[in-house]
Amino acid sequence: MGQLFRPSSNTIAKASIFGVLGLLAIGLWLPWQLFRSQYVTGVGVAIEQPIQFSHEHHVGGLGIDCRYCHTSVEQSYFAGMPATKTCMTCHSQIWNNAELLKPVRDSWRTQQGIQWKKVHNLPDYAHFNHSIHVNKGMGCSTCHGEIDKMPLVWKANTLQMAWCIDCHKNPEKNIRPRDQVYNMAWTTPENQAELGAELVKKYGIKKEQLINCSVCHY
Amino acid sequence: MAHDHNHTEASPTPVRNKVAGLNGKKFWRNLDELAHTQEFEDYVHREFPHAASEWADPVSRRSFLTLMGASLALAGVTGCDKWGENREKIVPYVVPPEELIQGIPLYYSSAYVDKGYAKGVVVEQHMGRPTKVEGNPDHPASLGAADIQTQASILALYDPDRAQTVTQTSRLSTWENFLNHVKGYVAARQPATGLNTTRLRILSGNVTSPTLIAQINEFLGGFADAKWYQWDASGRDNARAGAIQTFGSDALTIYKFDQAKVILSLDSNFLMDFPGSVRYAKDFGNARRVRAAAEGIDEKTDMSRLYVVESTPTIAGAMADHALRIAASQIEQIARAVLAGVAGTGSGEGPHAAWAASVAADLKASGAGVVVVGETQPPVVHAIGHAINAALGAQGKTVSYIDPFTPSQSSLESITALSNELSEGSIDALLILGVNPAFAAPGDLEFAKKLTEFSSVLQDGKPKNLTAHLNFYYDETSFRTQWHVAESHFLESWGDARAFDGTVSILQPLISPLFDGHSASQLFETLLGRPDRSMLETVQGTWKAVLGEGRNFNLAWTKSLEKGFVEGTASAPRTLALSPAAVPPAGAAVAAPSRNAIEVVFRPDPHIGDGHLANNGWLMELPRPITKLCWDNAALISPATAKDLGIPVQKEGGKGNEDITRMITLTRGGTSVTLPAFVVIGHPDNVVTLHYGWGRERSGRIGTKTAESGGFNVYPLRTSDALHFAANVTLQVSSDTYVLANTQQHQLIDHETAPRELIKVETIADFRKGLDTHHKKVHLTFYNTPEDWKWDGHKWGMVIDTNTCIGCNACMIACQSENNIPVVGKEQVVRGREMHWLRIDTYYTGETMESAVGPYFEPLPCMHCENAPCEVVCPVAATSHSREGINEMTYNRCVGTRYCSNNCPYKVRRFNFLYYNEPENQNGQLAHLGKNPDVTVRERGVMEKCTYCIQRINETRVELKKIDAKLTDADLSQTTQDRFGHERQALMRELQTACQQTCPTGAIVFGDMEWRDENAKRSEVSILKNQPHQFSLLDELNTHPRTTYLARITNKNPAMG
Repeated sequence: MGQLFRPSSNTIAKASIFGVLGLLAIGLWLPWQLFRSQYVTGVGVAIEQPIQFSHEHHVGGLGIDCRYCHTSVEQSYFAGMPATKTCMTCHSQIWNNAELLKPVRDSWRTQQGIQWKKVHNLPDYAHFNHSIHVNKGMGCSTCHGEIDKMPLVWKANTLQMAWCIDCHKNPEKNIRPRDQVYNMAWTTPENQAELGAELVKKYGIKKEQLINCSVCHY
Repeated sequence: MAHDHNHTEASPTPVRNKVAGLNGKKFWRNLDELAHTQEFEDYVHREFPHAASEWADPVSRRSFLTLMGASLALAGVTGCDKWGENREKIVPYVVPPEELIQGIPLYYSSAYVDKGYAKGVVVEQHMGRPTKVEGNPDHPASLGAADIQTQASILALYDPDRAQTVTQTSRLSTWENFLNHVKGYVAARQPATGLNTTRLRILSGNVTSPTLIAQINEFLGGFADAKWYQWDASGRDNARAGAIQTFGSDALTIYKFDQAKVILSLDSNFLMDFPGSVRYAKDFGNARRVRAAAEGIDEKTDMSRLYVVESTPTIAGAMADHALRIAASQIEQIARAVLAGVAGTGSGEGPHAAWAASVAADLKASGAGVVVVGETQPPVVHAIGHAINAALGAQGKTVSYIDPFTPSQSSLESITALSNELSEGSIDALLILGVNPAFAAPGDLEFAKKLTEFSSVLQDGKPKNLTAHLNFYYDETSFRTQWHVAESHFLESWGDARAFDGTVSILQPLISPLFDGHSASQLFETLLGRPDRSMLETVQGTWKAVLGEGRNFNLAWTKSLEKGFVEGTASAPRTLALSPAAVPPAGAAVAAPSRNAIEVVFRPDPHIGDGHLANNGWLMELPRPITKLCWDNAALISPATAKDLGIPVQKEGGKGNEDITRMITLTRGGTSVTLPAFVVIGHPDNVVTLHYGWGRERSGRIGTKTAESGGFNVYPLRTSDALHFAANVTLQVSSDTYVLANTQQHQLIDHETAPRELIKVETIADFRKGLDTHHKKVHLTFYNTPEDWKWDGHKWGMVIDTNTCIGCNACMIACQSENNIPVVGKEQVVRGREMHWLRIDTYYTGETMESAVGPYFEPLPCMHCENAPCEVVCPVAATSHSREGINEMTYNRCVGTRYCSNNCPYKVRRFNFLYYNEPENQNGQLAHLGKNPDVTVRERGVMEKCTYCIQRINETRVELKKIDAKLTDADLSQTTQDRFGHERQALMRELQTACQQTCPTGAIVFGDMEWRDENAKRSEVSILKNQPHQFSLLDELNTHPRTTYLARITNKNPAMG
């Protein structure tokens, strides 16, 4: 009886075994990398806006507090986007003829809101509450990064659930005193571990509850 | 039975008998269960019976794949340009409204007006959109509770079928055109001197608004021949005639059920049918509640006793200690017997004379008795009721009388007079405000035909008369008038109205009219020649006269808006004396109905009333209180009558879920109606109950009758001589069948294999005996064991008092409104897929259906089991347990295996088989405006269930924690610290689940089981958990439910059986 398999079958067999294993590895590695890539997470990608509002100038340069514009951050789940009126409090007097600010004046004149593009966007089934975070010692720059150095806003963190859970399991890493929440220049001190543990206790943060699903998903 | 081997030992039958003997009573929910049919056995074991999970629509596999392929291909498209123009936008205000903090709802008080009477409400508004209606805690008509129509009223605001503009004979027109036309018509009949000669008629429902009454009267004053008719399909003509017969003039009766020790209801469902029913339910609940003494509450072991005589089963009859269900025509005899007993003038006649004598004796002996008579009964029975109350000395104690708020009219006389004027052509102009006579007028008047003819009369090629209809929907009457004007919603208008006791509420708008709607007051203000006066000024004008001018007025006005009512406007009670001829001697006895001379009882539908709410999806899908029918009406009959007629009482055929019933034809005086028969346990024999308000021709996508749903119109049978009950009706059974959607047998808890205590009913005597031996100290939670589950935070729990649950369904609608629960439609309900998170189970007890007692109501939300069977079986951990005791549901994680629902013994989980919340399925984007933004809107393939209103819990917890954090700041003044302390207490006290908040009797109590207030007083829920009559469902399964119940207590008269 003749050979059933040709000599090339040896090569094909070896190649296919390694090939399948290789494909599997790539098939797992690729999505793993993809979902952590800048393309998917958008970290560091500055989003072009209808008006080139520069936080670097207004916050870093002029020193305007976050809450001047984002007014409801301490009371509500929604931090608040400044109304056109807020822009006009200054820009009806300063740079009131600038071409760059024409869309603001147009908005004021036509009473149509400015259509900003959302940089930090969570899915609707995740109910994120700003007010509890800022009241409990989570600073703006911890999640939003160095806003005072951004000529256009980009995401400084992925905002993926794993990132949130990371802090929820271990708030000592990131917590700061309540009076430092709006301080852009604050950095974690050397003794953050100690200080953090103290603050977590002082502000009554129940770590076991923070990882209950219904805290965000309801 | 399926199991028929012969065991040598431990045979099931002796064991079952032994266990059955332990608690004696067996509770069941429907007749198939009682009869132990094989179909029922099979049915219970499958939660979603045959075909329920199958896709039975005729979509071929090829077209399915094509569609799927297309949608998959398109799915990625929107994500493609996520950096550019397709990125989600965030658009702030240009000028932010004052007081509005985005994300935090604002609350405004107003009033929902039902049949003219106000029910004070507080409305939650998110970013300018009203989303939820609640009762006003300070308003005397509700004290914070709300009934189903009040809760459902928010849906109408966002109804895409609501009238959006003015139409003139089906052509679009404008408000200005309409006004010009009316003014022109009227001006053409204005003589040089004297009043206008237009013969004008205004037809409206009952109006209590002081502003509107003044406007209409002012308007009518300019005409020589103008009348204002008030008509209501389900009005109070009999009560009115009864009052006039008794007292010489009309009077409104107000009851105080919390003061009454013995109540006799003669065909009156006082818990749902009166304008004051929400308050009556609360008072009734207070009188019925029993409590053992505990830390924080006093002992209360006396409860009132309720006797009910009724012609159709209602929730009042369900709450009664002694219920007698007989034909409406036979009730007068019993009333007279009671009167004779109370007045001491001998005994009555008839088969129930002994029963009546015992009731009379009880009423007299109690010293605080009251009789309430329903609208179904003729005026003489109302007079008898007043006479009994007088003999009991009830006036000022359990009953009081006030003046009517509007010129009192007989509905029937008004509509008959108008109908005659239309056919004679003796009037020129007819303005109909908010009522639908073409559909709901008595059948013999042929109002629809007359209206059409009147509107179409031509003179010189133009219409001779003027007919206009101001209404929220374009309905049967709008179709027959020349003009239809869109009416605005109560949440879009300024106005005022009186509650059942006279208290005035100011209605304030929460949103600008979404469409071109106007209120009746706006119409009259314009017709009176004051088009520029805003409605705010108009309403304020009425009240300046009462509250004073200037600065005092502003203060009083603001306070009235804040509180939700104007102080001191409750009507003063009048002292009325019986006229000597109040109760005429009895006429000839009316023969009881028989198989060949059926008596028909006409009742407004418990949810949609006389039909005007037919397009409200929530009300259509809500299962009716006793019958549990939805989407249709049926002819209700008793089991004995059904057997007599050869109508099967158990399900015949069908796939398990459907109620396939026989059609019957009822004929009276040449008119017939054909509708499905439905057997109701406890229904009087040879009587058929017909609910009117169904079978609408023009009522939007939900309310209009189709071949499959929408009910059957019984108005043709309801004639002027028999608006409430009719004798000598012939009944024929046809072989046609109809599928009814009935939720009574949905979500059954399997208790065939072992008797389980699904509801506990005990007598007050046993309750009192139990108090001596009650040392119950319940472990509130098994989570405080020394192992790693010690928790010092909140521990949420709920206790539902089945003794005060009246089965009114308000909790189901409140839950639907709060949690964005979709309406699924009749076909899906028939498959058992209704989405209500909270259901009310009704149980009967007894060996045969003729001797059955009940129903007993048991609301069933999620049990939030500490040892939840649903949590351990989820393959993706979409349902977990929070530290605070909540069984959490994470919708985005759920993949739809439905194993959790399979494992839940209480069957409280609901699955989204289809994309019910999709805008197309919910009739457009408009409906989405009314959704609660704090609750995720679920998509297809996701499991959902009661969450103990986790969104409210989270909101409260967040606020409490913020206060705790703020209290750690240095240099806080004592005032600030005290303020924070008060706020904490207020937050915990105000945290209520939606069902708890709306329950008229306060039967549902939710809270933190270990919380104590600033006076160290325990929370109500922890007190109730330790009551002797507390029980949990299926606790032998070791689920440790956090939702437990208090037993139903009966207070039978020991002298009666």
